[in-house]
Amino acid sequence: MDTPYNFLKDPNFIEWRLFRTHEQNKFWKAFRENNPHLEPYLKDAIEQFSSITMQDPFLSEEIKQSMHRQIVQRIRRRKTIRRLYLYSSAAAVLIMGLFVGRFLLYERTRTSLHTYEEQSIVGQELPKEEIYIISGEQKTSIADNSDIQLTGKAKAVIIDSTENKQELKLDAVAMNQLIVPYGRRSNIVLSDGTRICLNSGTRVDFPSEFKGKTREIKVEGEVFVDVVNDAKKPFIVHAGNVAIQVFGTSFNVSAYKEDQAVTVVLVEGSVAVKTEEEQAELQPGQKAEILEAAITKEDVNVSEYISWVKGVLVFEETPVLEILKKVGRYYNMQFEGSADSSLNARTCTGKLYLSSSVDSVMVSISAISSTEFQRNDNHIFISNKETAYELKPINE
Amino acid sequence: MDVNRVWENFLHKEDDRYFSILYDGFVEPLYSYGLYLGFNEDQCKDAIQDLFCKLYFSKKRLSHITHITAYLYRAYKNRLLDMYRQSSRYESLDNVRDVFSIKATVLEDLMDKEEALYLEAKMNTLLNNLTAKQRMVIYMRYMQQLSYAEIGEALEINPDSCKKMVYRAIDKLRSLTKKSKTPE
Repeated sequence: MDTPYNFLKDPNFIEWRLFRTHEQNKFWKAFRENNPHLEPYLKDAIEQFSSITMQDPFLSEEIKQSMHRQIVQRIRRRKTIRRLYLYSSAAAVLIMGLFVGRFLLYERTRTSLHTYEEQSIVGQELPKEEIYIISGEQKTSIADNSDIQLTGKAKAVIIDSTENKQELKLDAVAMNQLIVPYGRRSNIVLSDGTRICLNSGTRVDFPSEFKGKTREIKVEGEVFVDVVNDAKKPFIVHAGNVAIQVFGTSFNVSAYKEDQAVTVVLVEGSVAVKTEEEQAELQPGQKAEILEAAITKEDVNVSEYISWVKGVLVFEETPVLEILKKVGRYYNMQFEGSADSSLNARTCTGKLYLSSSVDSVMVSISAISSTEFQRNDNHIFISNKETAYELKPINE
Repeated sequence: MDVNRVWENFLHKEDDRYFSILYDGFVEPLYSYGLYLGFNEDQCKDAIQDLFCKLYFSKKRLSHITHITAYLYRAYKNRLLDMYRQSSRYESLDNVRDVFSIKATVLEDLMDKEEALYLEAKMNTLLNNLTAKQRMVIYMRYMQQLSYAEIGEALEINPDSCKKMVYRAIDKLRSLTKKSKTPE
């Protein structure tokens, strides 16, 4: 096709189509009026020019949707946790804490790109819930710091901190549940003598007696287990999609729903960790981290993982948000910070004794990590000290 | 519906539909923007997910935001920079900030190949003659159709200087188009 005039090579035309400035619009309006015979060619050129696009990277519909699904899942997960807190009623009790140790602060962010809400972490103290044993239709509340001992014959003895004994009938056939909410901890000795320490926010499903060829329990949350050796009856702990087979040993399992990974840390003896796809055997002092069905092994400092049993949290170069998550579980507080907060880049190393009030924990944390905290009823706001000048108006 | 209206609805109504509309409307431009800034595909996807999760839960604290587009661009870039900082704690950020590469392509089916290639090359030479910052404002103004106020907010610069930057970039492009005569 022969064109009397090739608009696509006219710099003026290109500039007009690119930027549509006022003067260009005027020029081309007049041009069209004066050159009606060129109109079809001009229209063609305009259409052709519109086919120039910025090469926007392609994101398939499939990927977009799977990203959306993941976002919705993350939102749901956090919503469920919140709802659990809302249903509870009793008032909160504070426990005192103290941060001791050596703190390594990593590089501070140098820029002030952030707005206030991105820089702060907000903690909320939540009402306390009771510890329960659910057995069939029956739901029994248990006092804090009680020892629960299964005595066989579908019975349990509960000894509270004042040595009061109470006998409880359990379901002989179905699994029983021990539910420990955030902010509380509990111990149970199973019918075979195996001892389980339950950390805050943990549920254990257990039978009143181990009758089959195996001893099996189910865990959600964090437990420290000291298994009594019985070669004829292997002990199996199910946590998420992971099965841990135990041969007379003590180990720690952390399988909180909100953490994606299940971790198993072996203290003594030996355990085998199984998923649908993989299997690994752990040596004492080793940690297995299971994400989806993949198992990764690592040598670790065991005390960091089991210190909670004794009321101490040990951290080694642990990010602040991670610390707050653990502290939050212990005191039943919910901390919320954006993952992009610069506070997150800081890590702390040391021991945290979980014996005094949240306020004093916060004082120590903020003093050492150059943050500030503010308490407003049961909300705690943590922010960078520099926030004050970061809030200054830009460009004015 | 206008995005700022969708945002208003999202803020004040308990209806997750508005959240999905926001996501659908922004996922692609943000993804592209992240890649132009020199981040890789996974980083961009992660940052988008983090951004939207945060948006969902912090809407009470974000009610003062009226230009949602600008806010999302800004928060997204900050998220990307933070992720970068975490992965390389002591490296300078300067080399990241100075990247903004966009490329023009021509859909060939509408014109003949030679012509398409010529136009493409020409557009890209023009774009490469701008600074990264200039490319960024041009991209936001003409490809994403943001207002000067929005661009200013997104890049944390004054709307007036933003306007000046766009004009200067156009002037430069203009002088370049005029200079480079067509090889007939």
